[in-house]
Amino acid sequence: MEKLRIEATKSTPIVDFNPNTHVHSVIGESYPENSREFYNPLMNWIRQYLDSVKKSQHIVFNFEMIYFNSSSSKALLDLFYLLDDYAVDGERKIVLNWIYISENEAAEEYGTEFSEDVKHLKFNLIKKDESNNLSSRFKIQVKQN
Amino acid sequence: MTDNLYDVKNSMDKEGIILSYNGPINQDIIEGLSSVVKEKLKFENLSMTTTMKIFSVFIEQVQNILFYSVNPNGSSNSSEDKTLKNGVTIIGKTIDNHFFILSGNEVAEHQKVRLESKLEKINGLDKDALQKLYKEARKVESAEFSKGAGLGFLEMARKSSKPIEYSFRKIENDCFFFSLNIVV
Repeated sequence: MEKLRIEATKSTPIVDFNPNTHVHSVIGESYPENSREFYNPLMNWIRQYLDSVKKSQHIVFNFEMIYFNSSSSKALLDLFYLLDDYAVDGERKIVLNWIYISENEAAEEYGTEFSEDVKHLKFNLIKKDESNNLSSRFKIQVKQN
Repeated sequence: MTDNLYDVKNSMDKEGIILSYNGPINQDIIEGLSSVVKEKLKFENLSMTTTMKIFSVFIEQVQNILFYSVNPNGSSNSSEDKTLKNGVTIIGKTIDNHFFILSGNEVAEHQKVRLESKLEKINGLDKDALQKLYKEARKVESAEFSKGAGLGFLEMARKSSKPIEYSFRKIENDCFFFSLNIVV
């Protein structure tokens, strides 16, 4: 299984799916013109990966979405449903971490809503204080003395 | 023309307008405008939550123009013209420190009818009902939602502190100018 690495653009997030570490991440903003076109290859990769990996494997998906538009929201839900379908099998250990910085209330609210829509997946809401370069695009720069 | 420009600028300042754009809309232009919006909002000393609300409404509005605006040059023979969408987007600040995000674009009459019923329905909902409908609409797999349609207005309504303000002005036979105002 090959890695899937997609660099960020202005309107799409960084994708780093790694079948060696089994830690996969999506970080950034998402408002492409066509969300399906962007997320379908991710879902195809996930299907192939989960079909090939042994069931007892611990698998982590980290989602740190700073901003996403309504059609990406739909695409993300479809992706979480896909993971949820695999997690129906109780032997599977799939964890989804929804990561957001404390100032980003919208990310927290949407994370909570996604967590209510999945049933079998372990869905963690993880608040962190430190922001990364991507989230700083939306923040007032605090000058360091 | 040069004599008027100062007056145009002054009247925009008076209205509290911090950004305005009137012209073609495609994804590249949206991404370019997004950078401008982010930079502009940094000067406003807002919480990240408010910045995200304004940005979110802005994106839903301009992508609606991209997906649904009627092309005024639709009858043109040039294939390039047929894909070109036009619209107006304005972000401004009210005296009481709210922000308004306006968009305008041309729509056909059948779109007007659909938009009116959709917006009327959304305006009748409270915050909890909006959230519920948003979550339901997001689950629905249908052509209507393929580009996020419907979801976009719900998204804007959730960010809005007032009912959505909208109007349609008749331009010609089957063509209306659709104006939308969201206050955050």
